[in-house]
Amino acid sequence: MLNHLLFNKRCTTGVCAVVVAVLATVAPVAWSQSQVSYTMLEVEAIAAQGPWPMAMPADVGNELSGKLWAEKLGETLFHDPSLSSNQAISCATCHQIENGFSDQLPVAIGLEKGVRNTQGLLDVGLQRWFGWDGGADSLWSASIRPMLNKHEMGLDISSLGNALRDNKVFMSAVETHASDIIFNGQPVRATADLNDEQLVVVAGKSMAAFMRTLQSEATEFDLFRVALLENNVEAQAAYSNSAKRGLKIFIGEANCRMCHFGASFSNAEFHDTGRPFFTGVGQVDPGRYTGIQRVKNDPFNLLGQYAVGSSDVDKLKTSEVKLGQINWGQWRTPSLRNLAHTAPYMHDGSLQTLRDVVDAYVNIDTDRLHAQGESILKPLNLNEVQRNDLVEFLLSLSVK
Amino acid sequence: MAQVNIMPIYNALTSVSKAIVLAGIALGTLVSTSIHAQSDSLPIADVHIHYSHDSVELTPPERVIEIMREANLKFALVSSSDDNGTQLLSELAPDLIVPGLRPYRRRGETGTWFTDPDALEYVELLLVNNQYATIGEFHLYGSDAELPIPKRIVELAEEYNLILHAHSDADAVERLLAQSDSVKVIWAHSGFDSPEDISAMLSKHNRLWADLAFRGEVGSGGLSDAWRKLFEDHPTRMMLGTDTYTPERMYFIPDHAAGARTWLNTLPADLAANVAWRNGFNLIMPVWEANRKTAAATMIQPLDACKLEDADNAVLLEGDRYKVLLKTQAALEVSKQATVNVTLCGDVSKVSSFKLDASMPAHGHGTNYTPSVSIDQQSQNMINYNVDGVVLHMPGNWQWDIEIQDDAGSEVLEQAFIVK
Repeated sequence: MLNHLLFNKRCTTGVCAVVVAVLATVAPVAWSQSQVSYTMLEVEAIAAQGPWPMAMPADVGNELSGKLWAEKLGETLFHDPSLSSNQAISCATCHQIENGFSDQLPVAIGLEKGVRNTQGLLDVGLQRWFGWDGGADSLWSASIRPMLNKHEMGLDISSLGNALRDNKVFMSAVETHASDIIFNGQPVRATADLNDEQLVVVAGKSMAAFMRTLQSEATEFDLFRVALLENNVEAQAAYSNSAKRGLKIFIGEANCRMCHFGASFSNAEFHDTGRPFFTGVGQVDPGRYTGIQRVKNDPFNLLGQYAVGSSDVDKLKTSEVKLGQINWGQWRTPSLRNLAHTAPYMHDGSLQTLRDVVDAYVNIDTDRLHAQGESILKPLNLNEVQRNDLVEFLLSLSVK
Repeated sequence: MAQVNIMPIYNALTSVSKAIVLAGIALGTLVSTSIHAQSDSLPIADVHIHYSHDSVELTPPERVIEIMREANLKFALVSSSDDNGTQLLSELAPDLIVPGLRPYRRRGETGTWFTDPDALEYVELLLVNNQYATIGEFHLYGSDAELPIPKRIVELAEEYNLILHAHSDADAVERLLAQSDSVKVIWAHSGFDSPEDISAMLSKHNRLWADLAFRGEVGSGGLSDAWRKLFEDHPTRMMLGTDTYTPERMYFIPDHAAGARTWLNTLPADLAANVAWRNGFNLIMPVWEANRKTAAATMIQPLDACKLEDADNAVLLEGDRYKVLLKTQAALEVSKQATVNVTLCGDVSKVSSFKLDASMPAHGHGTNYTPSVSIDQQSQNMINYNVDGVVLHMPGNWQWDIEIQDDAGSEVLEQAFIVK
């Protein structure tokens, strides 16, 4: 919505009209290898994929969000292997900075091999739901889950509470900033009174405070988008023709923007794109279907006692989300930003390269989609050049 | 909470008694006062299951049956692309599986089958060899229902006593019903129509039933007045189904059943039981029982009668034109007279004679007796012989010698074996 407002605002100043007029007269709708132009509707669509960077909202229900001390503490905890049952696995084991906070593996390996691909964490604070299945409704509750998951870090509340009590850095920071921490509507007075579950909540909220700071910078696409809207022809030339053509396919023929919408390149919701979700013989990972059940039953959700300052509006998504058979096998639309650093792709890491992803949509198996299901999905009729252009555009969404 | 599980009782009855039971159910007199819809274990008749080729590859039939039993299904109407999956389940759990015949050999034929003569041929071939309760689920819209192949499907439904299972719009459903005075139709997904429109169709056509497969909106956030009214106005016509249209959906069957129970729970007990299983049972089971009984009388063997399933006392010989399956009750012993059961598969209508003997190649002799060959059963694709009086009088290396005569000449098959 903000993006539309920005574009409309520009239109009211007359800039937009100039852009469109120039494009309509100087550059024809048809485009060639050497020259790419966009129609007025296409420019509107491109405008809606920004601006970037966005203002980072606070983590809902997290009173420590934006506190510098919590961000620093969270970063320390993020790298702390003592928060795992074998003392060897930290968040950073899978969320590796050098790999876009992912791990280059098809599926994560914590204490055991998991069934889902590790998602990158850049700009994670912009998400509405967290995890491939949206099993968490806030970044802080999403931060707690891996520590308690037996396949990932494998502690229970009690052992995690003990590990945190033994962590001098953690306890010292909590002691120093106790007044920032709220339980039962009151600031904490004596840290010695905090029970295991409360300590876990503080740790999760601190890590979330840190992860909220993981923001990515403007990309080649963002610079081009601004140049396009400002009719800066010289600056537009820095963007490759291949990426420009790929962008045109993205917003047009391939209609990727239908789900990968907005500045985050994600509509923040869940879809079945026909990807298989077997995890072994006789086992499936039903994605959003279990995600909804998980978030509804999560003691750390926004409806629970540990969500601080969340409004009734904030809570609506959790209280009102419906569990339905349509959710069986749905996955959260991932952001496409910085995906050059986070291969392999899809919820199970089953596609190695971006070209594989494009090919998967070209060859999408419509028989896997119900007649009354996601009707916009159909095999893309893209030739070799177009597929490469689309990949080139996708690469331009990553910080170099 | 108490409930009556009628199926084991039903299966133990004689056919005459079953007819009485079915009549009793139809009249609502036998179980209506004993079922408690409020039970979490309210049985469900799931009338919309597919176990297609890709699903067979990914989930063993045993696991499918396990999932269905976990969901407390009264029975499942299964139709698959291709039919193999349905047969696998049916063989494994005949008490649970009611087979339907899909006109699809592979997934992906939903938009072509009604103009594809091969699809019709496939249906006709399977109808000769197997038994079903329904033809469908097939996809058919509007005036396509008037095409020759769908018209033939309606004729086949009449001929073989089958219910149509149509994924169709109201227009196509009406066209199908108009082609016959007797054929009944299960309207898959209730046509994705509104409760009001479904109700209108059910009022207009007394040979129409409807399933609620993939209708997630039914009962979502509580059962709406419109759906409730539909069930109240047509208490004997609505049914449930999961629709396992992808392999993964097979695992949704228990959740689907559990989800349905939550809103069925808000209906009066009798009505809930009707929608949960009784309507499907009353419509489909009499048809299935009749077809199964007819089949038992004629005993037409499936095409794969020469499939080697138990290698202990059996051997399969494959020639150019024929396959021969030899089976004995027990391991052959020296000098102990035995009967060999022989199944000859292929185009047996041209077979003029069949001989089986045994010899010891290293010894240069055969047996001391001429076995007696008699035909036990015969169909167009196979002959079952009993070969009596086989006596293998020495231990060592033996060889089966088989000679099949037909109008193209003779086919000779040999197979070495050891007698200890």
